[in-house]
Amino acid sequence: MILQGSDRPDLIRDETLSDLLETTVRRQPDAPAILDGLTRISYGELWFRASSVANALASRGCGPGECVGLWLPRGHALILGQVGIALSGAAWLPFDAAVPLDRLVTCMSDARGRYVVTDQVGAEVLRARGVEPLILAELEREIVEVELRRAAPGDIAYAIYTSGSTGEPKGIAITQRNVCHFIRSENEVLGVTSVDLVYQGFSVAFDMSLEEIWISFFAGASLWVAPVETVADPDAIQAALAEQEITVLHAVPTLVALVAVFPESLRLLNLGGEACPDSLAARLTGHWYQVLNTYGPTETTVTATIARLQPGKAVNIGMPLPNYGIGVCSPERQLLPAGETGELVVFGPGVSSGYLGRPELTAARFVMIEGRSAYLTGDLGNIGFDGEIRCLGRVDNQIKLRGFRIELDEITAALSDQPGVGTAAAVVRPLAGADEIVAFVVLASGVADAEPLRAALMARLPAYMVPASFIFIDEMPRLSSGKTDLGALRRRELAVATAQSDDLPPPQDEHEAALRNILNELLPGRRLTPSADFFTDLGGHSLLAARLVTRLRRDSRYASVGVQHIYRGRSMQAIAMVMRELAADGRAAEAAPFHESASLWRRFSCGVAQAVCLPFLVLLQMLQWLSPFFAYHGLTGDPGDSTIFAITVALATYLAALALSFPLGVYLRLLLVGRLRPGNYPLWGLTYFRWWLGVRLAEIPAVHLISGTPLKSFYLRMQGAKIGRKCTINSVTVAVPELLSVGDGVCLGTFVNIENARVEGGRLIIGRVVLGSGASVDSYSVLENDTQIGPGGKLCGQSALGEGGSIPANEIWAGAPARQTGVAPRLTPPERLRLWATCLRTLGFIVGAAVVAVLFYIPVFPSFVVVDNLDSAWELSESLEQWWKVFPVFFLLAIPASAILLLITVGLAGLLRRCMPRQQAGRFSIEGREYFWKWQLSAVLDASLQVLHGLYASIYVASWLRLMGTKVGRDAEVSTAEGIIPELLELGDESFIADGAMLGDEGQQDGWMTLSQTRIGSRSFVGNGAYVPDGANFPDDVLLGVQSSAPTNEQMQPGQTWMGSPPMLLPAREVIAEQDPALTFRPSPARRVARAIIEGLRIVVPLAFVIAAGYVTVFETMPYVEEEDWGGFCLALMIAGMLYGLVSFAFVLMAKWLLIGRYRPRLAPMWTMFVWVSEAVTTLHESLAVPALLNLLRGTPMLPWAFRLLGAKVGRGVWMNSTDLTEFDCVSIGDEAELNDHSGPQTHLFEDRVMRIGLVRIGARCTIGTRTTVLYDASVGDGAHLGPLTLVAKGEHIPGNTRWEGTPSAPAPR
Amino acid sequence: MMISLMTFEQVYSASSVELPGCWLMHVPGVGRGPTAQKRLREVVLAIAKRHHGGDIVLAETTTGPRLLGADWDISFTYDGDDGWIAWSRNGRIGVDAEKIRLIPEAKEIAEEFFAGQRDGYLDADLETAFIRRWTALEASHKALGTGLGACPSTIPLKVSHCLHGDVMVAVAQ
Repeated sequence: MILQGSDRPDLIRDETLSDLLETTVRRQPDAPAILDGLTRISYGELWFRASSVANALASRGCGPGECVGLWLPRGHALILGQVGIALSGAAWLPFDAAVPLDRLVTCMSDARGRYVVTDQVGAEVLRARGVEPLILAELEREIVEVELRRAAPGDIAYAIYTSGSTGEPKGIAITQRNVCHFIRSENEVLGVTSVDLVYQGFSVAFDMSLEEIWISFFAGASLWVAPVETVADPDAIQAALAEQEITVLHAVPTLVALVAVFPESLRLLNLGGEACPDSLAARLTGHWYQVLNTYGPTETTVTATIARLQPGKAVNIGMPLPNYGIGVCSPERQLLPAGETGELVVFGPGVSSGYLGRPELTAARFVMIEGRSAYLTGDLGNIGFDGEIRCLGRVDNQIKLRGFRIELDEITAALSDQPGVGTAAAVVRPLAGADEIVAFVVLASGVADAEPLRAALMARLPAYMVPASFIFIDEMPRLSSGKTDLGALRRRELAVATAQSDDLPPPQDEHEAALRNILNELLPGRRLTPSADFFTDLGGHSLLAARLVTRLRRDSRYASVGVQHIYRGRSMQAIAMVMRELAADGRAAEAAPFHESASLWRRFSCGVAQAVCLPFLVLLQMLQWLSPFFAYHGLTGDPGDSTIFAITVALATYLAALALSFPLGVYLRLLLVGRLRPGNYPLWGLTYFRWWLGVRLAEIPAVHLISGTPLKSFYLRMQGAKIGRKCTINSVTVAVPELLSVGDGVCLGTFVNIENARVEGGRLIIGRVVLGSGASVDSYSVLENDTQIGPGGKLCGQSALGEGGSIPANEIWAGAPARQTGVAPRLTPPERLRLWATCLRTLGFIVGAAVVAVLFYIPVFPSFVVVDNLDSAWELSESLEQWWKVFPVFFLLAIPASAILLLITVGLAGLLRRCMPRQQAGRFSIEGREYFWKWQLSAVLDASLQVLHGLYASIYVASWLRLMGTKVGRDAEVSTAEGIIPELLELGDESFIADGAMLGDEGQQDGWMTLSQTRIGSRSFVGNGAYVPDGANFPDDVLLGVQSSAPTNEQMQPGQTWMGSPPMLLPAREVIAEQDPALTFRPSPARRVARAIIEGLRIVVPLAFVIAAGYVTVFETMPYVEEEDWGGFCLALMIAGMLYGLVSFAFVLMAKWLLIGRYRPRLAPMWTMFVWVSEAVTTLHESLAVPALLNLLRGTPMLPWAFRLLGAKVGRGVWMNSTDLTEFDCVSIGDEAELNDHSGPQTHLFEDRVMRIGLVRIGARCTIGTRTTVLYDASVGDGAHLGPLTLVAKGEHIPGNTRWEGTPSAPAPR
Repeated sequence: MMISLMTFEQVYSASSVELPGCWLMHVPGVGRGPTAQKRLREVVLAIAKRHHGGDIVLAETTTGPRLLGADWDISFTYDGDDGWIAWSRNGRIGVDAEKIRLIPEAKEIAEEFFAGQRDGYLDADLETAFIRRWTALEASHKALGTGLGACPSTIPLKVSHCLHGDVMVAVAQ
């Protein structure tokens, strides 16, 4: 790309300087041309006097093609001599008055110049060196008759010598055409006119003097020649500018920087010759005068580009002058596009003809690029995307230091911007044997102090660019051009170094030392000051942050350091502080969370003891379950037996069994387990065994029937808990009831885990939980051991109060881990019921529970009758004899029976629903009618789901929910939704409710129940285990993540994604790779039918299995009853129960391996066979294997074996109190890991109706807290401990030997 | 690659309607650190103003640099002296670039950040594989605005990669 100045062919003329001047002279002969002190020379006089000089020169043979030296002190004579040479047609070769004589002689020799125009003093010096001087004054006085040979446009106008890289100066020859075009071109921008008074201060040896002199002459302006004592004195310059009322000033930036004030007369300030710092530009711009910044090598005739500087805009070198062109080229001389940095190259009429007498050098720098003559400037730059050019300094001023490319000009600019700094320069020179950056500073004000400068540069530049040393000097050495003499600075003796490169303060302590050591390895050569920012100063980035953290963690003291500490801290001192805190926190000692390994003998003995107990537990279950069938079977079969009577007795037996199970369970627990005490006990030890047995015994009674009723409080009291009056306790799991203390009026929601016994680090930890009067705990919350909630305190839903946590009175806490979110407003409790009303209410609950239990047991009988009649008709049981032959037959017979059971259950539920009053939104007393009917409805739903478990996550669930009164949109999908109040729930079109989501949990506090309408918008998604409170109103297309709690309605907007507890808004949502809509949202009718069939089978088959098992069990054990061999009966029932469990498990095992094979990570759209079959296997697992066997094996060494058979990789000594595994082959659990209640791997999720399956790895000796979920593609390192309600997100890795908690997971503080 | 690789000239000269939904631009020679950031910001603003006009502001937000006043999202990064800018009209975008090289701590870092990932990447060597995963992770975090220091999101994004010399560039949407 070539950035081209405006096309002005009219500026390119065949003319000479003489022509330009003559035009002005003819136009305004009397106008002042030069003002020098008291001397005023008009244009006419200038022409006359210069012509005399020219004639004299011509008489000596000087003319076009010849160089004449010009060596005079500042003053009008100097200008006169220059003009005189120009008029002679020769080229002038200017020398600064202070030029070393050797240089002058060398240059003259190089240029083959014969004469040097000088003064008397100079003449004597030159004669002594063999150079022919011509005294200007004498030339003026000569009267000769000679024909001037006028220069042609192609003749050299002047030659300027500059330093060469080899040490030999090189002469740049500028032609008449070059310079005349330049004058016209630049003045198009400068706009110098005849009314201007131009300050002339540059040495004529510097080509910027041509801007001053010849542009003025072209325009007819007046030139004020500054005396020698003025040009280097900023104060004198300032005074002169004002006194003379200068209108145009051309200067180098470093000189202008020292001028404090500019006169009002000034209209144009033209900067050039060196880089202009931004700070100077900021100071100079925004005033009445225009500020220009020019750039141009001498080789391209003074100036090639010009920029108008503006306030607030970074300095650049602008655009090419008219007819000039600028490009950027690579080292291969390929033009580069905008934005790419390379060597600036100049095109156009300003490009000179080359170096005098240096053809090789000329060929090297004056090249052809794309057919055009160009000059390689040796300056780095680029063409900005805004179309302006940036000069980045000399190629040779860019250095590499310790691997970094450093632009010294950038450092200089940064220094120059600092307050108090007049001028500055940065060079590289050896310090203590190594190359270092050294800054030289001339102060404009203030005291010489390196530290503020160092600090300022540290804040602005990368640390590797901060000078190692700052040297304060009185005056900056300059070249004759006025530019800074960098060479002199490089050679300067460093008598005093005001700052040393190794002046870093020593590390504060071992932590900072450790950090420095690692940073020195990762970031060699960086200056590691305490305040150095890891990212901006030390050049760190995310990968380096991860590497730093990895290295730090190798020291166990810092095992909990995470990249978040680096991002948040940023500076070395902040990171070191984190390290200090971690070490001092005691985390050093606990970097590896404690884990006690149980001996094989202890585990084995416990397992044997548990195995011995299992048959008895099974017996109790079977008795409860099958007693009605024994009663029914005993009262039928003979002629004249009444079926109605048999059913009635059977149901009465069922009720009796239910009722008896409560005191029996309590009594057995008290007898066999006793009272557990708070403490810390070895896993698999005696206390552990007792606790385990107590939990299993507590699972025998149908506690769900009395949840939310006063009977629950009574039952807990029977178990040893202290429960106050008027408490409302829903489906709460209490690990150790005798260590629970609940005050008056406490409300506990649904699926609350009072986890006052849990396993961690190979120990069983038992403690107390105390809930003060009026406290409330909403659903899906977890309270660990030794926690308490003060009177009136509230723990919101989906929250976790970890071990030792305490909620003060009347405060609201929420989240996982729970934090205070507010103050709990107390409600005035409703009017208390009288005693008789309370008794009536309690009776109502008992009757209601009984009615529900019975009603939902009734449908079993028709199916039983069907099987019985078929058996009698075909005499199957008599002909087949052995149970393993009978069972499969009855299983098949039970399928239609199950269908009947399902239909009746559905119909019954629908009928009961219609009989009950509709729920309304509002606040109601918990002791009132509304609460009772709400509870009754929940009981109906729960009871029906005992049979209809497989309905959820099926194509039928929408119809079921509609039957119950829920508004369900088109194509909504629901897995298992908990806590719903059907008529107060609305699900939008294509919404998706994932497994275990709590939808519309009613509020309970201070004796009041609050019911509100809950709405899930269209296409919204509620993730697995998520918590949606009553009254939530999801807009359309909102996603609530796994195990997350819903934000407030005010916070939610359509299309948002929320995750966590407390919820946080995620800024973006995954766009799943496009799937065929026919497989996700728009299935074909054929797919709907196929899914209906498969899911229908999935619902019916488990039921058929259970019915068949029940029938066969009764069939096999009935003879013992008839013979009144109760011992034999019990034994047979025990065996039958165990067999039932094993056969159920085997059935699931067979289904899994035959239908799925091995689970592997994959994607599967929802409307595909794989998903339906996988869900079917999951349903079989949850409705057959778990209740029949695996639930009993929780907490025993046998459960891991079951999952190994299902395909999971489970290590030795694993303790599992959870059966929540689905895609078994995708699970890997390390040795001695511990999975507490309701915890475990979530190996699949549905996202946008696509099932994603991935791997989960739980390391050895991990402790997974209650209700903790590890999502697919995540892993937990060996020895890590996860607190309760923790969510390990997809793709996350929990480092080993660390503690984490929360949703989403974060390192746990102590 | 799903994202268009464009040059500055192509972007600058195209009309706004011609621009694709998202594209990636290589900006060489931006330098490092604050210099690079400053230059990349200038490029972003220049293009944004060219196509949008009006009041465009490039603001540093808590979720990273964002264009205010334009319906585009941008992300930029630099590796060595070269910068990369990713643009999107279709939601959030993130870009990251790293030179392919041996990282001594790769195994531990991979365990922490990549464990369990099965993304189908097949690379001839472990160095490339690691850098590919790392840039994907970083780009995803930038798109989400979460940053590596925050907990990884549960929601991975679509990531594309390209090689520029020995620099792996990842763009996440």
